[in-house]
Amino acid sequence: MIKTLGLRLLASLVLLIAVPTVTFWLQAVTPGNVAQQILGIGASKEAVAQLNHQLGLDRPVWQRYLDWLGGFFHGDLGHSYVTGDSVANTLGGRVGVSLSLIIGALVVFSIVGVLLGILSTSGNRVWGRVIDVVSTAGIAIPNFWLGVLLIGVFAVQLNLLPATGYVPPEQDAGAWIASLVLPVVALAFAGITGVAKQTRDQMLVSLASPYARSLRANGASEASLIFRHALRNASGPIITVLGLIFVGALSGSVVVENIFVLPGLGSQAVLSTTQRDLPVIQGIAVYFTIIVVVVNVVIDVVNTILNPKARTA
Amino acid sequence: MSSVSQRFRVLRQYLRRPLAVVAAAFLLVIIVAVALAKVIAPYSPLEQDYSAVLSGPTGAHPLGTDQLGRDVLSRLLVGGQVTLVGIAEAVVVAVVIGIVVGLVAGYLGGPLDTVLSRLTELVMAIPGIVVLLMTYALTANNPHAGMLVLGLLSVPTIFRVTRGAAAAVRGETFISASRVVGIGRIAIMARHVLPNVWGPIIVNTAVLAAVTLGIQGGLNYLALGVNPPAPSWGGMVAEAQTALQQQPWLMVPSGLVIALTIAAFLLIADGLRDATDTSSAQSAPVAAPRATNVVDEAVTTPPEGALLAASGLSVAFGGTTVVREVAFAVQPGETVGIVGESGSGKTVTASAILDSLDGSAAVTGSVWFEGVELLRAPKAVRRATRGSGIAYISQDPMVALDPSFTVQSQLGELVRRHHGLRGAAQRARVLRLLGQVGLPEPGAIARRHPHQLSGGMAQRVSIAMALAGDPKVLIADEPTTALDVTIQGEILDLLRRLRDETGMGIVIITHDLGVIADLADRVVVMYAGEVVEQGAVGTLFAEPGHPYTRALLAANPIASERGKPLVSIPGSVPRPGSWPTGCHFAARCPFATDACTRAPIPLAPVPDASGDHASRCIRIDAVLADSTDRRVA
Amino acid sequence: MSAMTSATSSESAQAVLDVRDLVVSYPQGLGRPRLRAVQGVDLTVGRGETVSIVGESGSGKSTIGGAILGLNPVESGSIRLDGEEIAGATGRRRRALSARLQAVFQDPFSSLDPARTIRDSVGEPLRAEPDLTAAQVRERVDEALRRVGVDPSLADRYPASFSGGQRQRISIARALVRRPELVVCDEAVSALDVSVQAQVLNLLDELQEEAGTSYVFISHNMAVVRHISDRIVVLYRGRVMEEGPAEEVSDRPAHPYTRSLLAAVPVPDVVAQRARRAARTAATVRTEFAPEGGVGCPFAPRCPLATAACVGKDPPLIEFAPGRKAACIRLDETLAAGRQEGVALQTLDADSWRVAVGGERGAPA
Repeated sequence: MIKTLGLRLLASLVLLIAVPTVTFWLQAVTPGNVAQQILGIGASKEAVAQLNHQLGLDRPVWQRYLDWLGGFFHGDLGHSYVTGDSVANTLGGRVGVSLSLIIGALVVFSIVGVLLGILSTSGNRVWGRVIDVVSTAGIAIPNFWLGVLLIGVFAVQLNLLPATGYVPPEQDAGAWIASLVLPVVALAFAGITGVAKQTRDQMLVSLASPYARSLRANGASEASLIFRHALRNASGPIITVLGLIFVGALSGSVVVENIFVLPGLGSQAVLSTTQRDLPVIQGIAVYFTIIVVVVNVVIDVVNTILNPKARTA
Repeated sequence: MSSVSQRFRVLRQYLRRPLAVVAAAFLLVIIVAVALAKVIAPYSPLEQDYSAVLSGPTGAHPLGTDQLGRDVLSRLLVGGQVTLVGIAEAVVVAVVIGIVVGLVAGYLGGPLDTVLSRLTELVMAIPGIVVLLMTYALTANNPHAGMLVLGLLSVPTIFRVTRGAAAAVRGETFISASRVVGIGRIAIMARHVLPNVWGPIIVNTAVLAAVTLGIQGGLNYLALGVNPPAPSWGGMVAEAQTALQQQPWLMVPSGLVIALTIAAFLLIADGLRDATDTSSAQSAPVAAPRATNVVDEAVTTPPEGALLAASGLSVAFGGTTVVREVAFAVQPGETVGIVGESGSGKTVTASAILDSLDGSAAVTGSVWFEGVELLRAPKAVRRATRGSGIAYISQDPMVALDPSFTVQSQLGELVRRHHGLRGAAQRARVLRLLGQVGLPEPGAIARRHPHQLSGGMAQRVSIAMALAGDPKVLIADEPTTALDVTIQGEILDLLRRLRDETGMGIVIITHDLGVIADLADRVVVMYAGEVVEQGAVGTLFAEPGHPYTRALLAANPIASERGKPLVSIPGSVPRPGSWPTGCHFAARCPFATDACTRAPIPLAPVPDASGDHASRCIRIDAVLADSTDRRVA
Repeated sequence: MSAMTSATSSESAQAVLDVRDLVVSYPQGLGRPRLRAVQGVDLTVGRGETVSIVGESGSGKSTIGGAILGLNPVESGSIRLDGEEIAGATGRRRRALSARLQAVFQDPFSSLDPARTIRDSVGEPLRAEPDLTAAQVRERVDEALRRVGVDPSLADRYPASFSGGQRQRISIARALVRRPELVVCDEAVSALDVSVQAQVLNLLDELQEEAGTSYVFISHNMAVVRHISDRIVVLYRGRVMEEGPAEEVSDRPAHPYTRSLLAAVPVPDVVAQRARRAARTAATVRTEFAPEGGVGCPFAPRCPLATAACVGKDPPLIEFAPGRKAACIRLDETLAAGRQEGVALQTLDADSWRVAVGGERGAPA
């Protein structure tokens, strides 16, 4: 078991370096003159060449990559093309905001989704259809549209929650939570329904399996079959889906942060895109990769613990 | 089923689901409307009418206008072009690359598969949104570049589905058959793998389209991948947001069209999933078995002293009877063997007794356990008999045990359930049960998980699970079929020993007449849903009273004459739904006469020495006479 | 089971199939030794002969079939078809070989591609004969279907329309469409009901009479094997334990493992089966002997006659009578014991039993 986990950890470290490498090279080899983009179409050739040189963009790609890599291992993620600030500084203060949002969403869609899924299992067929319809609606409603609607109803009409803005927890815990309610709902909504559906499907598969049949015939209680056996056997696939939905939520957070004007990585990403500020975008890629890799490792660990066959694989 | 109808079977299955049909129609309308946008749009999407700014739905503007007086309907139609073309670009890229790479990895396996799978993991770990943002940053918001990149980022989804399905098909026997004949790998992938995997692929393609639309909508909302003032669905949501207080209506058409189109893709995916589902279980898996729909009939009393008895037991699914009027009894310490081939209904009969049929089964007749009628009893009574009254072991021991729990845990749970034991007493009882079923090192076995046990050991553990409640009757469904023949004997000996030790009755269901001879006291022979003969085991083998029983014994290769053909039964078993009116076996029976086909044949006593021999045959005299003649000759 | 009487050894007219010292192993993952599924097996099949390979799970019998058919890689040893070495042949060579070598597999429900018509499936081997016209291919497919008793007008249907027995017949038609010399039947009747099994076995027999086809029949079912084979090879854990004419091996088994296999088969006769139970229990015991480092008799851990000498070295396969071989160093004892205990299936009083069940097709007088 330790050996399997050790290998996964190693693979994760490789990913941690490989992914930012890929993103770096993607942006390095894509055609398009960055300095030109920043200065605009009307800029003179000399101004463009000067900016290119200033930003170090006229050096060979390999050299730029190695420089970046070196900096990466020291925690130095380069400097913004626009402000000249260190990327790490620009982003450091924003990580907490994004994590609050994303982890908040993870907690909400995991718990609510799994609970709904289990509930619909022990019920009857009607519940099943309800979940099917709700989950289709849940995934179909775009998170940005939902976000705006939530603002319209809860902030503008009912004045219950703030429409935009973020309050750090150390400043005012209550306001912090209040500022996160609507964004988390907007982000988690689709996830809840996806998780509920997967939970229900996996549990039904479990409950129809030969071992469930044997246990039931030999006297095991229905409650035990659902909460002990089915849940345990379904947990592997459920957790895997949680991971997938989480990665999707990462993408969704970029949009949600923009709607609710949360000063996180996502809103910075959009801003930097319009500004063609590539080092900042690359820095965000690194942070996101770290989050994804950490989550994948946690999922692997949990799966290995839950699935006895995987321990020796 | 003719080949033509088979080709359209998928289409017909799909058309059976109303939601899926509606969704497909909706999508078709959207696509056509958008394609013809330039023709049917009432206004130009850029045309501004300052006299009708932010108006709600009116005659001139059915979906209203935005803050620059532009017609919403026209903008939606034209904006749809960018949207739908973009989705098509992304999906086509993902599907083409995903299928090719997935087929290769899934079918060829080996190091190529490993490399491709690792690459896929790498791509999945890339924060796609960031790459998309970079793309837009570098290409000055080029929508095609963005969608192309999104397509590449979506390859893993299609790859995984294709690879999984291809890997599953790779292990099928028909692939081996083609390899033996020398068909090349590429030809096999094209001719045999692809046609068998396209079901899950198109389902996932539909889902991918839904997801892509959502992502693209979000990007357009952020003004990425589209250059205003060109319209796009996502962009129109952003525009609606700026006028949220003055004209909230604007949120509706923009967001709704996205939501409905995504929903349409998802419903189409659901429809396709059901339509291409080739497994025998067409409906969704059922949770707990419901109270079977028992139709009330005159309840007659069970035979004296019988532990378990059935009378007039019939089971039907969706109007088709699969088991008809089964009756038998099990006395304490007695072993009753139910023997039949496929289509005989023996397994469904066992399920009816165990109350493990799913809700779609209609059951008539009666089942008594210790004098209590079970089929109409309240749930609590039925639950109480499970395990402590009637217990069950199944055919394949490797799947009959929960793979996630140790033997101690599963067995302990039943011990606690039936005897309320916990802690040390519970552990002791578990070990004792494991010893009772002949396992040499109970402590070591208790700590293991099912996948760490051999077939024989796992079956012994299954038997221990069945014994946990000290049952009076054990129903064993083909308990030795999945085991090696040398292990089979050990399990039969074990069952016999347990029966002698505890006095429990056993119902053993099997197709193997040798097993019957080894273990059973009485035999019930089933054919095409009916009991055709029953009696003491000795009588049945020495003087079979039904042509089918005779034919079954005769076809057994055990006492065949080498050099001569085996006695075979011409024809095949009639399937439920096509049972003939008269005797089900008549078409294949050497004794059949006209009278045999006219009316249902009753189960009648056979006039011989044993006294409890019954046969469903009106030609019984001829059958017995034939045997006697031969013996004398 | 055919007119063939002699020609059971390789000295005679060239054997159709000659396998020597076959070794097949599988990797078991990083750092673990390879699993030897087949360890040095010899096998010879003459023209028109049926040789059965019988064994339980883990015996390697299907692996041998797979090696002959090119589905499993061969580690060492030779497989000769009509004198031509075919071990490890793939691609174009396999296609050429399929004119002489075909297979019928076990599972009637997955041995035909559900997405192709049976005309397609039965005709697939003919793709190796590109000179045939479409009409000729159609003709050959129809003929093959007729020979196995399936109406050619049904050929455009899909496998789902047919029962298990019919599908197995169709699989046989596919195997015969190129009129091969040798067909490997891998548990070809194991998944069929007894009544259908009888039909299919009779069919295989008829086809052999007609065309002189040889069969390698792989099975775990001693009763079936005894009926249809000319010779039987008994396999245990990848090694040949015993070999000889079918009637000899099944009625006068020499090797303790063969005896345990036979004793374990339950016979449909109450009195006889009761008598057999004692023999069954005595035939397999738990001993403290086990092979070490892959050396020694693999059956020693369960053999009632095992001694320390049995695990000291690999027991050689000895020809103790013409055409009879066994790999047991305690052969004298087992032969003596076999004569007394009545382990064979033939202890069933077959004649009177056959009479009672109307042995000759049960037709009324």
